[in-house]
Amino acid sequence: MSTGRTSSRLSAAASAVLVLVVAAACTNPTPDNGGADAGQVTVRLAEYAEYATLNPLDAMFGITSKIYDGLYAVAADGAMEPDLATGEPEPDQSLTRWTVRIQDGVGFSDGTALDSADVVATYRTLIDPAYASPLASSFEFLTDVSAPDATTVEFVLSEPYAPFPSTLTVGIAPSELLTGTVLDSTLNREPVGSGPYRLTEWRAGESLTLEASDTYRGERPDVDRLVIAFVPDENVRAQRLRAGDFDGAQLPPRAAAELEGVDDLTVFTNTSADYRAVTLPQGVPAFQDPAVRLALNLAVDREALVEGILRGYGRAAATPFTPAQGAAYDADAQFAHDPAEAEALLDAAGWTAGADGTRAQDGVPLQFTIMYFAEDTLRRDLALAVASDLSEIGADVEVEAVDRPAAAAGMNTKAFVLGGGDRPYDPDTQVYTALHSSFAPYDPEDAYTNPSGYSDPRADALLDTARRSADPDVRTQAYLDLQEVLMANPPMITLVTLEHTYAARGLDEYSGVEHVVEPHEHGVAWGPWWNVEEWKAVP
Amino acid sequence: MTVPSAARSSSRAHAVRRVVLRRALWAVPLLLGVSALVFLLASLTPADGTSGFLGARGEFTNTQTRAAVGELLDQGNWWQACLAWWQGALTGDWGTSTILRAPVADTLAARIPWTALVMTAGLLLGALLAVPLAVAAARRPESLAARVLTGVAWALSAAPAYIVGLGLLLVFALGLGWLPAGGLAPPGEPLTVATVASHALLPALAVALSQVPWIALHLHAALIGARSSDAVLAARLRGLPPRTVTSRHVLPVAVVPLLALLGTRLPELVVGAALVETVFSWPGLGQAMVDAAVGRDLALLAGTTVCLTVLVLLGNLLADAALVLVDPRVRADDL
Repeated sequence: MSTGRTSSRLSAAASAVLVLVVAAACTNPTPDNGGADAGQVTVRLAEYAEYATLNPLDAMFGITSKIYDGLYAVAADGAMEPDLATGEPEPDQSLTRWTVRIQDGVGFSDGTALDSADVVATYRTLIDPAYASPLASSFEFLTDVSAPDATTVEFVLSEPYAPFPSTLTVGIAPSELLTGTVLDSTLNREPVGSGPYRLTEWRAGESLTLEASDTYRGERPDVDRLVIAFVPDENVRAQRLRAGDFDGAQLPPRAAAELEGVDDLTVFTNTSADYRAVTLPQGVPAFQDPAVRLALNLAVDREALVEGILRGYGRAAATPFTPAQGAAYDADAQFAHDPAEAEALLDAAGWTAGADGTRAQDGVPLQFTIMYFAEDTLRRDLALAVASDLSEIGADVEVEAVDRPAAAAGMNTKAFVLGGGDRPYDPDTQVYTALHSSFAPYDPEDAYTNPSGYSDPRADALLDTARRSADPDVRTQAYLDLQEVLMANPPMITLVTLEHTYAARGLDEYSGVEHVVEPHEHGVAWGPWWNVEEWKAVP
Repeated sequence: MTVPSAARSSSRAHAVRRVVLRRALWAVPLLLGVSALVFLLASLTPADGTSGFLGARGEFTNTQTRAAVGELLDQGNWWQACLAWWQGALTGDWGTSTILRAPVADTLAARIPWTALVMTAGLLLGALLAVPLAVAAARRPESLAARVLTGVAWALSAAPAYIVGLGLLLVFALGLGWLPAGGLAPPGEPLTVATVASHALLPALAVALSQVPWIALHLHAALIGARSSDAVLAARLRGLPPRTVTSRHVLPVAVVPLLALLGTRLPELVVGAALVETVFSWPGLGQAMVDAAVGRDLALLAGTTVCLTVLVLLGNLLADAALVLVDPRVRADDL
């Protein structure tokens, strides 16, 4: 036996295998589109995770808004503006029947026409439990949708619901493709919308490419292609952005701040209604005393949280109301950082310090645990800082990293670092389920609504007044009054609202780059790129 | 060596066929057992499929919607779910991934080639690096160079593939700019053999460096042993040149135990590749598998586990078949 020959045969065979594997791997995925044509403008972005789906009934806002049009869309100032609709929705007297007129002559990217039947099919499918759309949560009052003619849609609600227009942002899909369930719909991977872009390639796990749609009813975007790569590791994302692989990425505040001015990168921020709060559940006996809840609110140094943890990218918050709520937001409703006043309040209410420094009232100690999602470093840092602040005034606080099932299970007996602001475009959707007493009873299947178990009849009355009134002034006044109630009887320790941070280059090559109010959700479909279809190249 | 070479190779081939057949029969209960274990273990974890499906949105989903999703995903208890999955799998339907909202078969077909590419290239590259190192170190075992080589190999064997990958990324992609930092191709550009090869180089090198230590150290030890064997001493006494002694008498003996080890190291190679994939944004099976476990995506978890088990079985089989072919001392019935 000759080893010399054997080993050379082996290595030849190995090389052949390698070439075959490379060749096989290259031929396997979806056919590529031949790359960028000369003169095409491409913007390359790095996203923190692959999108689970592009089905508009499974993901509102964000990436689906590039491909789909809704009846209404989020505009620059965080207000709603008509998208497919021709004007404001028209409610009847009772606010239970809403009429929306839509544009004529709109086409989907597959060449079919979009009419009122597609809108009806989209919303009917959305509220069909068998389809299991996660967005159904926003439409619990919607009972029926119908189309009197090709450009008119009528929504019927079970209750008067003034904020209804703000929910009509769901992307409209072709009725014939709304079959099956949210799990196996073809729209998940092969979206067909009427929006400015269409999906041309999706390399599973790596990237996707959107190109300007020829069937879009609006002006053709100057940015012809959007390439969005999925880069989960934030360090790698920042480094590849520096290396020039990308034109922009979403990054946490610290990582974004480090890139400011490096290699012509700039930090771009959007305000958001994304707040963080520590819940004060009624299952903890001490939290049943309003004096304790007020004292804890006074003991937290929110400015230190903003500067230290958010690197200045955020602002102190006293209630779930944020500047995103516009006129309904009371900028003066803020808690001062006043530990001395907090201690005085606790002393007056009979919460006195024992030998170990922990306060107690009639044998009930001021002692609790703050839970946070284990994978979320921001919530961890906030939990630790709050625990430290509260221990200064004699509270015995522990922090605990939990997964989602454990968080839901502990919601009534432990404090929790809550995230909020998933639908900020009406004050009702921002605060109602967090504050109304009808959501107060603890249900492990519905743990995140009113997680403190807060119940205040004045708050309930104001929330319901605003929900049922068609008069914007009445609604605004009710929300301003509500913030007064929340300051006197706090439901939780609202800490901060976040600014979402992005790093980008080349933004000055376009006009039309604007800021927007972001919901809890973030990513490269937001940031400066939320209206990329409207950008104009500066000559 | 009196046995005619043709007869010997035919009996060896026959032996290999016996090994293949026996392993194939074993694979059936093994795959069933492994998949059942996946479903059982998943049912014991606190994670639930509905939370995995909803992800970050779980914080904002009301009871009715959560219940509707739960109903959609409900597959009964663990053995019912396992049975249903196998029923589908045998007819070609591998189920639908709940976290990726796509057929598991599509996901696997899109991702397995990329994982296989990095693993195969990494292993070959590792062998190409390790063999000369080990041979050089074994030639002069007492020299400073040999000591440094084995020292570096031990140090490298302690470094996780993730750290090695990040180090390579920082030096070769970001520092020197010689190689791309991640993905399959520059963002937005088509896949060609050349771009994929250049993008695969660093991840493959990261996998290779995690394989070099054990290959080099084992080979080094085996070479030292083989050099002092009677056969090698006799060859040197006959005055054969050192190069011939190494290539014809030392290496063949020393490589044999390495082949046997290779099979057992495959699972570790897969785990290492999964971590390397994360660093280099490489769209392989690794990330999908981690997400599936965290999100309790039973169909995807079962699909990836079965595929990886098959991969490991095949790797073991190839290693053993090579062993039977290369080493006349190995009897197929012992494997």
